[in-house]
Amino acid sequence: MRRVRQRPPMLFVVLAILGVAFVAVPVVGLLFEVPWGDLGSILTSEIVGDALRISLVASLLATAIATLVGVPIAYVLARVEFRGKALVRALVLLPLVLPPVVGGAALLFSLGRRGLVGGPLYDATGLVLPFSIWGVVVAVTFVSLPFMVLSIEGALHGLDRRFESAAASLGATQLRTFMRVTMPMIMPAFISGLALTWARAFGEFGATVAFAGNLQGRTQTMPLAVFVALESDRGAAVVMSLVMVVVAVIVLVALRDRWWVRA
Amino acid sequence: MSGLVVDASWVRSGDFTLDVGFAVPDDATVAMVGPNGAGKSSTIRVIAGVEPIDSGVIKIGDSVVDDPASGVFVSPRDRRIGVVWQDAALFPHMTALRNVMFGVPDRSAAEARARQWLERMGASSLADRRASTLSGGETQRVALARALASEPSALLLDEPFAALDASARPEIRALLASVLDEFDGPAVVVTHDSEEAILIADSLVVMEAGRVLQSGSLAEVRSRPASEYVSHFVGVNILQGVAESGVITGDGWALTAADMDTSGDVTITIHPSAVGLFSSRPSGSARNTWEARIEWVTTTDNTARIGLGGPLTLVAEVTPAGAAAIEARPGSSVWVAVKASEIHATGRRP
Repeated sequence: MRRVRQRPPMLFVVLAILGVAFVAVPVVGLLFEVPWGDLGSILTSEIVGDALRISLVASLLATAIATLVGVPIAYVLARVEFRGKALVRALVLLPLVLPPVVGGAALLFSLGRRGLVGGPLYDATGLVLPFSIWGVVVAVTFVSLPFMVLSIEGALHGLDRRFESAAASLGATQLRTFMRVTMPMIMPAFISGLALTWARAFGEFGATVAFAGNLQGRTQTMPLAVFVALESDRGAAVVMSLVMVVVAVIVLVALRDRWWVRA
Repeated sequence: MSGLVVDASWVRSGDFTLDVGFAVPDDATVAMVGPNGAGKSSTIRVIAGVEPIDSGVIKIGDSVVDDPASGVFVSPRDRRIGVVWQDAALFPHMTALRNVMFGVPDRSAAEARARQWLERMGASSLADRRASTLSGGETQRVALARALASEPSALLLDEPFAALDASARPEIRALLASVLDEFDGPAVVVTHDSEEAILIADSLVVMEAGRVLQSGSLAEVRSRPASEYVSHFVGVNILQGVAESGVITGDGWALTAADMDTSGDVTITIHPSAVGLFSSRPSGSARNTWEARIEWVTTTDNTARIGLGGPLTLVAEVTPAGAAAIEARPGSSVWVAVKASEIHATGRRP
């Protein structure tokens, strides 16, 4: 088949090249800064090890919690008609547009030891969320939950309702229908929701530092450790940044079918 | 009475009000026919319980399943209605077997029951195929098996032939006819195809613009068609005969049918527009060609219907220009040809 190449406007070509360079230059610059000789010793240092462990634990827990509550939220938003639905949706998506540090401050006022909910919680159980690993989990869940809700809700709207009707008339309960029919059919959206949620949780900075603080070995995640290391140990900052870039690339590659390969 | 009773009114997509009443006795099959947008699929949806009605009542067997006046609404999962949806709506991520197993009420026996139903539908070999890889005919077999495996007390089929290519139709039609014969609850089949309606159903419900325009047995509807659409729809030639190796023999006639694999007593249908008329003996195939006497001619703006006498009584439908070309008038003779592929047959219903 003969293909005639379409020539885009020259202005667009120039602007697009500038835009791509704007993203590419920092990544390449980072690679030039990596102290390859010290890579091993930095990666195995206590600070990096602690930060990586806390980041992984907190981001994976946050993804699990976001799935547990985000999927039901999305289901209710997509399938149930009720008054105030728009308000509920706006509320759930608020962390998406809220400056993360404001979110962290809000968490501190509400879930802190003297907070609205945190006070009674402490009196009843002795649990203190701020400045603990649980505080990190709460902070990163808060900012990453909307990604799960958006992914699942969009997929539910796009799914032909006939399949759920068919399942119902075959005698299936709504829960069975959801687990056996709906969920498998929106699996690609769920997987991309998982990746987006986890990536947001893994990279979280503002809410974490405001709510959980920056205690090495307890609440210091990778982004916080990078921020601290920029002042004291540029080599370590670069290596940790490299780790996060590699993680980001892995997520992108894993989702290539959904995001950047178009037939 | 038992069976299925619909006497209901509801609003579809904002402003279109449907007002539908008909009844289907147990063991009977009703063909619901009518133009696009008449409300056939919407009626299937309210019977299945996917959508509620606004007033009136729907009864299945002895139980009321939807009655807004007394606040009764039985959810689809508790209605025990087997539905073959338009385009089947098989779960694409499951195998054929898993699809059929999904609806079996007794979970411990699900696989065995599902395999039995697949075998009954001639679809055993499809058990491990993913539903998304099945052809149109295969999909309908699995969809039928799935609907029946849920042990329904009523069956609804929304255009079960629509997605089939012509070659798959005779087989699925024969299968459906035998399934409906065995099924002892009420059944509703939505179709656009008059021949299919006539071959598998006991009576017709003709829908138009959200209302039941006419209903009754085929003979009743044929004798008093309520509109030109109905008249056209039921104007199909229906013949009884005995089939053997592709030839159907009747009282003083014999016709060759393509794709015939039934033998014994059969009902065949020939659409009037498939009956070709010629002023002289047509060249080519000599099969299904004979000379007949014209008994009567009725002409409307767009069509001329011509009654043919002789041992094989048929109605032909041609354009007015076509009728003029063969100088059709009562008493004159004409050559008749019917393509073997236009003759549709099914085992005669008891």
